[in-house]
Amino acid sequence: MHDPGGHLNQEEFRAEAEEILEKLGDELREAESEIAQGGIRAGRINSLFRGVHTLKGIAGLLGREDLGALAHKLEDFLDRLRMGRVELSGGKLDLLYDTHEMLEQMLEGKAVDEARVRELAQRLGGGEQPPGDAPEAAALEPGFAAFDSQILGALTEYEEHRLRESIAANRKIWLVDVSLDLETFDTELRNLIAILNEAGEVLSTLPSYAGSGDGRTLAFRLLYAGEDDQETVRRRAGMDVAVVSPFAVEEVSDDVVSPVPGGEGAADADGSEMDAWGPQPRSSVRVDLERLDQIMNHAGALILSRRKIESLMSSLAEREEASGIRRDIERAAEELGKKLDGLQRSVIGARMVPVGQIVGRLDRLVRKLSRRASKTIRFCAEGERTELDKVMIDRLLSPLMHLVRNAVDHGIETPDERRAAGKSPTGTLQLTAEQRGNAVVLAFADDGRGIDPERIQQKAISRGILDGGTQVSPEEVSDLLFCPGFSTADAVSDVSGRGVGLDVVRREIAAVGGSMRIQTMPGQGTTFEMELPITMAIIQSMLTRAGGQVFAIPVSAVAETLRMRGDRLATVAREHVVRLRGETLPMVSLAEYFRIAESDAGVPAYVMVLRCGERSLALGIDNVIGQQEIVLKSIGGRLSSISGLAGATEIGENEAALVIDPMSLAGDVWRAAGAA
Amino acid sequence: MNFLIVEDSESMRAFISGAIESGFDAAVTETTNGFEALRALAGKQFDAIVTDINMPDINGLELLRYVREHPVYRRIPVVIISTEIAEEDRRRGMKAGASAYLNKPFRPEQLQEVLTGLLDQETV
Repeated sequence: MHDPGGHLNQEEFRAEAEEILEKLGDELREAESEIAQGGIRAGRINSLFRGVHTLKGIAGLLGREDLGALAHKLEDFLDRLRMGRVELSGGKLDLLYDTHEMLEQMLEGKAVDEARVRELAQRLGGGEQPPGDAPEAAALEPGFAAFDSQILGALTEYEEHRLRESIAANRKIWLVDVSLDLETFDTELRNLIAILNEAGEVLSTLPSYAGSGDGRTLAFRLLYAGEDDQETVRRRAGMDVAVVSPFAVEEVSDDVVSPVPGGEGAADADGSEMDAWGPQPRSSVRVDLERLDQIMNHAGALILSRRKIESLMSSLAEREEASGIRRDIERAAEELGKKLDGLQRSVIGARMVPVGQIVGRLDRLVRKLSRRASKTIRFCAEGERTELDKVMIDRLLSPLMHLVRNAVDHGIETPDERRAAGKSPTGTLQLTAEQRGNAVVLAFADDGRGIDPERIQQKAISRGILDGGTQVSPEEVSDLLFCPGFSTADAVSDVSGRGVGLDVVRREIAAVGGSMRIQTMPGQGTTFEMELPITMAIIQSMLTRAGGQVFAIPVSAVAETLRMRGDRLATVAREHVVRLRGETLPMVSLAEYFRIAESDAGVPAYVMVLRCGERSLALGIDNVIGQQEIVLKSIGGRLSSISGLAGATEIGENEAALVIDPMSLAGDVWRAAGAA
Repeated sequence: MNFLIVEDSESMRAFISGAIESGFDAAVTETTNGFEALRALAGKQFDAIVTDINMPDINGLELLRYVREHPVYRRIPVVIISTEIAEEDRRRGMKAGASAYLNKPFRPEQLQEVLTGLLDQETV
């Protein structure tokens, strides 16, 4: 693109660019003297970065690609410096001076030595350490996990880096709340920041609506790092401020239930993430979860009653003489339906708690276990405000703790091993929670040694799970890890040798309607990704019939349903497969799989294509009944051990449907197909 | 229509204003930092905000958070001006409720297009 700002005064652009370059020169000299005096001022590099950033923008306006390209290289280099990814040494300062000089020459329009420009660009681009191995990662305390996530969300990457550095340097972190007059706030606030900066660093300034209700005042929350205690900060500020700690109180008592978010409009995506973070009164009551379950059951029963009314209405529809009364009932039923939906949403809302509730527990566990295993491991969490059903959170704790144990024991290497592998001696465990549509995805990642597929294969052969000589794919490796009783631990350690394998973790996740996947990279780490419904109480399902039995299949796993043509079906190595648009999918008849129909019942009438993670499979079924929200109930006794089932549900008068767990079903089918 | 621009570079500000004025029948309020923007917001109703992220005093993310939590301003479309290398900050901006982003350098028409799209959504 050329000269995009051409309609504006180019001279003004040039003048600002010159001004910036001049200021950059001054700042470089100041940086040099600061280094000579023992340390560069915090914020100096960021200030250089901002200048070059603006310069690059202006180069774009001037249509000067040469200037823009070199400024971009410099900006990138300064970004790495300010983020602590490269150290500022004497040689690098020279590079900054040289690049600055070159930029000046370019702007003046002098002929420049192209080879020299290339050389500068190349030097600016070199010397990067791989991300994640940044010096700050090593020194960080696990306490970061408990940091107020609202504030973190408004920090730029650089500001967050400064915060981490401050925590790592054992500085005290405070939130300073101040309310100022709209007329004079900027002067007063700049004064306050200058005063605070004398003995520390104001990392961020967050304006807040909360507490500035009359429109004549503005409230601000400063994030401040320094050596001073609470009282000293307050005194130093010299004005009316509140000084509080940004670290969340260690875990709220287990049975506190969050207030219903917003009642009627609870499902409104708008604003749900944006609740005021300020010190606002929390109006909540403790509710016995059992009572909520009762209300939920009542709501569920009401939904069934509504369905009964709907089915009665469709039979009424066939009678001409009842059309008047039918319309009335229809209207009443519609209204009932809306209110029921509202009730259901409210009850579900009342059950929701933030994922952060278990973060404290996991953090403590990591600290305890890593001490015992003589490893240095930091635990961090992201998305702690993501909400999940309380029951779900409770039931997740045990599988997550198991994953923590596994990671501390097997995943993360000892500091010596890590150093030898060129990694930071401190290992990292990260829990990330994120809402995706109607599901919450929890990812638990370690940056440890990863899982070696070869070892898994050998183990499987020695356990007789696999025949010697079979080659396994990465997906099959994760299936093997989920096999009952499969463990790769060479020694039973104090940490995770408790006879519980990943199969149990997966079963627990499946029991709450979730699915689980493993991604592992030898040498780089392992991530367990769990996709969970927000509530286990209600699942959108496709109801289908096979062999006379009704099955409910979570809609999230269904890709499509097709009428079956004989020529799509083929047999490969005695296993049925379906050919679909060039793709070959393993096929299983649902009725045969659960042994409710004779095998070889012929070509099924329909196939339903399920997508589970990376894999697809075709399910042979007799017909599709329709889509419906179902209330998942766990099943006991003999049925509970059947793989491929998540539970059961009531779907109408005295009829039950079996609820499929697509992930475990797909795993079984693929294993069978692979073995054949 | 009223637009609010928050940008510390004079050239960039002039460029953004020019792009808006040539594409819309609009009054543009230019501010050079977040503090000025806060004051401007208190005095006038805006149809859209265009803000840089990396600024002194308060950054664009902080301004965005403030706008999104404010009962009166929360629905104002906010376009963040970012740069290729600040991918993480852009991601945070979108997560904090930005309506759209543009990477520098961009053409005036790109900004006009983005704003037209956002303002259309508003009126529908």
